[in-house]
Amino acid sequence: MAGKPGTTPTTYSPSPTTQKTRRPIFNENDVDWVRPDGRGFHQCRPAFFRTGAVNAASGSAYAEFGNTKVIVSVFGPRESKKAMMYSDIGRLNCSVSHTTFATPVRGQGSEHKDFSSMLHKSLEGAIILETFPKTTVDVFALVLESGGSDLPVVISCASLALADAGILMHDLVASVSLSCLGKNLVIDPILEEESYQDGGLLITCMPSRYEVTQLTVTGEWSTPKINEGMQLCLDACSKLAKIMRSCLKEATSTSQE
Amino acid sequence: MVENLKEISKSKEQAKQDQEASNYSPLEESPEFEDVQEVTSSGRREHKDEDTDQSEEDLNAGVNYNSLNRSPTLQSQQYGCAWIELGMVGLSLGEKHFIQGGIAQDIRSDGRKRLTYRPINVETGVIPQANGSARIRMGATDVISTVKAELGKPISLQPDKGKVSIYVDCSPTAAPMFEGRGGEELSTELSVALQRSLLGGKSGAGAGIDLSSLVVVEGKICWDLYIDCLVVCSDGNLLDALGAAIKAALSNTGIPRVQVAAGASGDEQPEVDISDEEFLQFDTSDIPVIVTLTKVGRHYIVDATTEEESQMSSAISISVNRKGHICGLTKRGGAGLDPSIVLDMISVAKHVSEQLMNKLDSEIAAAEAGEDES
Repeated sequence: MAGKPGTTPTTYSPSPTTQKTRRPIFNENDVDWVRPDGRGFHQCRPAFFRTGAVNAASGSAYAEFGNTKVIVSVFGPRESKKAMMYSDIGRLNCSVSHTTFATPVRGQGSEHKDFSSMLHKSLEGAIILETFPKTTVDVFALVLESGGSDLPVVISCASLALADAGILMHDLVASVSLSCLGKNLVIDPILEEESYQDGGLLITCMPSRYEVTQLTVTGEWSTPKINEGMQLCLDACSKLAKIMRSCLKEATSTSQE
Repeated sequence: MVENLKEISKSKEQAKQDQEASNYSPLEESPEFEDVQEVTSSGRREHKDEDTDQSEEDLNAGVNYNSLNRSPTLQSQQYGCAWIELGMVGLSLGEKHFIQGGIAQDIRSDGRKRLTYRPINVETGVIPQANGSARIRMGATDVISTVKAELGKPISLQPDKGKVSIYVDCSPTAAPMFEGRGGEELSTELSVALQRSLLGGKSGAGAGIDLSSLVVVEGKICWDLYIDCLVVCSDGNLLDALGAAIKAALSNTGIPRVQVAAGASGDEQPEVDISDEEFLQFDTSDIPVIVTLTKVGRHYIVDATTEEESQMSSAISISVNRKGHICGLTKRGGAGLDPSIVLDMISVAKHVSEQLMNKLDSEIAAAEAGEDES
């Protein structure tokens, strides 16, 4: 899956802002601090998407951002399992799980109990639930390898899988996270940067509608910092959505050939 | 099949297209919305008379309003699933308009303004066996929070910090669906939101609770704080009540003084003597308060009841500390929000949090003083 025939890995780094020239930035520990994988502070990892990864599912997608590898399958719309009350809008059921070998230490996925509900909240604002009443759409995400910034990758991959399944949505959902290390904002943090972060910001948005469907902020932030962080992330999200769209177009064009 | 669905939605899209542009900028007046307002304001007086003509008018205006704004009433039943299932109150269309219209006119169903909290009742020391405890009542919402401190070993990555774990339990007395595993989803969401607000970033920066004050012997012994909260009765706005209860419980907490036996060397566990008499009070001046802003229609309200929450389009919970910095933010499901609205909500929350923090501090101080006297 690592071979990328024909496509050059595209990145969704936000537009260079004046902050990028402020280079000699140091952490408490080092004088001349560089990110472990050599990226700039406002540079994201190259994004790789493939739809149709799972044949049995209505729709599926595989995403690989650096070391974070996620596969999402969508089943549905299908009959609601439990004898639930009649509902004239559809239901969305999300489940995110980690493989036991996803983290450096085996079986450490218990920190991420709330990923399923976060995924649900991010997607429910985008899916047009009225189009499949009385039925359920199941979204199952599996994190194969956790290399930092897992939830944003899961969300972006899930929206791609939903599009692959033909579920009607208002717009593709793209998600990016940001870490605050000292005074610096680094986008798309890796696992190491996340464990030392002073604060984190996760944004999920629908770029064409310019609407935020999910926003989580951890740590202490002043309002101008939140503003700056949000702008960076929204910029990156719109570029990520373009990459997702081109992946979908490619998938349909290869199937037509 | 996809084509058919697309055709069905195309006609809906046509109707929505005019509205889309005005939906984009939230401050623009939309004509349909004004119609609804007129009907509800005039219809409110006759609401209880159940005049059939009036209710038909309500219905027609309601249908327009709903379909053009993505039927918020229907969708909000599904949104924030855990929160909303709590309040599966059967609301008639007239009642829904009453709530929405009232909020638009700054008069809520119980007479409050949009940014006014319900009266907060604080009692501390309700659970004598725990190191600290508090009970908070906001209207009908009733939560109890306790703090228990036990000695433990610090994590190897952070040897100079104690540990805090926050857990929320939704009791079946609040709603019968919470029995067994039913309330687990809501509990997890609330626990995670509280942890995010109070414990800051992974490195510990910006935490409301100073973890380094919990260490006894660096690298070997530290205090583990277990903050357990119980939801006894829920009438909306659980997160704010829980945040306030934790703040009150921590002010009430007394950590016993520990004497470490001198002369412990190397890897040996030092002997500790936990005093029964002397206690150290916790410093709670840095603990943030949580303010939840619920967006109903085009306006934000604070401290929503269950009925108001069922009408929400989305909600944001913001935790603000005394310095006015945001310590945590969670958007709680629902429709998408324009980023400028998010920033506006943040500034409103900061404004409201000052009043809330002062009010809470005075209530907690009064409760503590009352407890000391008795």
